[in-house]
Amino acid sequence: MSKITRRDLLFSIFILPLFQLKKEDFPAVGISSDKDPFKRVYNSLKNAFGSKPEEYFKKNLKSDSAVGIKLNCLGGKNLSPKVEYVEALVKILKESGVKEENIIVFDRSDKELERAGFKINKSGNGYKCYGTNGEYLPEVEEAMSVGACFSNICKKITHLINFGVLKDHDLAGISVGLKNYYGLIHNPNKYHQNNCSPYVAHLSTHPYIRDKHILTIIDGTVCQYNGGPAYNPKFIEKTDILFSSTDLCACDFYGWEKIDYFRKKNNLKILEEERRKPKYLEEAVKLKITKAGFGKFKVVENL
Amino acid sequence: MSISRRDLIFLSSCFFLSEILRGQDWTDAIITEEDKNFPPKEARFYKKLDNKRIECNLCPLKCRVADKERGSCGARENRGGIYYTLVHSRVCAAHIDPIEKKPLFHFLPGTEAFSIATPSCNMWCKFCQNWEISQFRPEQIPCKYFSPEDIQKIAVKYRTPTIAFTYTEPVIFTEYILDICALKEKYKTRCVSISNGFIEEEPLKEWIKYHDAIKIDLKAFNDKFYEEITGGNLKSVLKTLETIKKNNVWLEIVVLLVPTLNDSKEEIKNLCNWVYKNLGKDVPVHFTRFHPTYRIKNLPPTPVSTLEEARNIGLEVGLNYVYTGNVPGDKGEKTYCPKCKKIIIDRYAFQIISNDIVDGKCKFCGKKISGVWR
Repeated sequence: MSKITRRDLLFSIFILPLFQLKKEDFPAVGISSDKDPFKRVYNSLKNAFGSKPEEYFKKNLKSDSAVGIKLNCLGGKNLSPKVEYVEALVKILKESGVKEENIIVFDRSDKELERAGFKINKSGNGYKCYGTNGEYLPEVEEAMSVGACFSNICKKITHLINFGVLKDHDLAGISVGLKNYYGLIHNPNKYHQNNCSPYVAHLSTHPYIRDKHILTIIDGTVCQYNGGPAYNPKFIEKTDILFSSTDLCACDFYGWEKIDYFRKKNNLKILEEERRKPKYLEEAVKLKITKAGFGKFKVVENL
Repeated sequence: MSISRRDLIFLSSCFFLSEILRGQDWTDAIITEEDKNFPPKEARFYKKLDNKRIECNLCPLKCRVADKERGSCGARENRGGIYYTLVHSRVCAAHIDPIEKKPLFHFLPGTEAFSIATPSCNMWCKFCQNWEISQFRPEQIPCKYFSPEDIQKIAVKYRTPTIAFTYTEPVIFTEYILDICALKEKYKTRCVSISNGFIEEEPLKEWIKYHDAIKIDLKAFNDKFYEEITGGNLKSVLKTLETIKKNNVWLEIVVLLVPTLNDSKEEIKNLCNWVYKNLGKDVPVHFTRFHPTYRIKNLPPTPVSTLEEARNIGLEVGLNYVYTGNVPGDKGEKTYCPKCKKIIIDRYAFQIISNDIVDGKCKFCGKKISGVWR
């Protein structure tokens, strides 16, 4: 074993801390467990932004911005973002000056959205809601190791919000925020090997995601701590939290902790012990597409 | 309104099918992806695991698939712990091709094959020429329902002696193939597959029972290429080649040479030596030309000189039948008698100019020529 020299010791005591991020520098994960659905969304955003959501959106969006809200509805009615939360977010965006008809709530297909309780609206008044339905852009886009055709909705929007759920994923480890973006491409099944790593992280380097992402918000009121990604009532814990962050991956790190917490509580091995830790998050840290890390985020509850 | 490349593929597929099915109503060609149009069939070759998960045993990827998820091919889905194929009877391309186009040069030369494909593939080759149908999920591609019986009937109607499973990857529509092949005695047709050879042993044994010929794409002779460019692995494909040969199903090999990635003299020599040692000198090897496409657009087409060099290496190693492909008019697309060296099948592209094989022998010197000639 190598010895620790006096120089190493001095370095670690005096120099290293200068370069380390302080807790307050970590990205915020805003949490809310208000009973009222609107307040729950509003307060989660307020805690994440550190200001009123309207102020944040006004600063970052323009009146002609087109905002896409990508849902994760694979789990059907029981394990998808709830309609009332999504509509609360739409209302906040509207109150921030975004035109309602410029908001597109979407997922892979109409069928999935309908199963989760959403009403398809392709051209009527109000916010739009529809699936990609096989309409992918014709050219293959490269995002490091990933090559795929993106949903044509990616071209219609100027900003992207990731609205996911809190769930275990048999291969990726977890499917909370970042993994939800697999639903933007035509061939996600080609990128499930090696716990989906580095593919999930690589995909997020594409400008459609990297440049357009402004928020991740997670409906954590149902936690599928094992047996995901489909709904599996045997491994469910109900919570009352909704959490969000402007950082691309902070919600994933928070969600990972939550899932492991419920796994332990229910006498299951944590993801790492099951060789299913979400390795793609480590890759995301390496790529510097996030400032968060395991334990490196700050939970903000009562701003 | 612009037409995408995918639209174009669909339209050309429709055109080809309409050629085949002249006089039939084509108004129902564009169909929805609802299950009712293509009823999913329970897959063969999978194992049930706990919590409604399954392990697919069709190809060496052995995907472990959770409920409501699909395997890497995208053509098989776990629904409540039962694994289904979504591509049975779901045809996305159909055409009558010369058998030489497959290419199968030693199998009924000058005849035609009714050639079909269903969507998707278990690999993701970055140079795939047919990526618009092989790299998409079944519901993302317009398809038409053809039962196994329909396929046999079309082959008979248009007098094509062979049905070829091709264009995408036959491995992923194995159940459909086996159901079509089960009718071949009744309709007196033959069945061939044009495959990447990335298949597990159990389904391969089923293939072997029914196939008259199999052409395997040996993508390279190095692991790195397989891993980084195709998503498969070399070891499994070599095992498939040996199994096919051992079971006396007619076998031909295609090697697409991609400049700088798999075209070194050393690699080609190693490949030819392996074929000679493990499969014998009579297995035809085709070195074919790459054209930039899909995710490899930054490399030039393979120089003809590289193909000719590869052919010479194969002949020097001792292989009897080495061809160049995708170079119409090249001397390497003709069949030469290994004994008297005369041209015994003269080809131009996919056309047969002359055939001097009589009863499976060279007309000039009587040397037996390996292949299936009638």
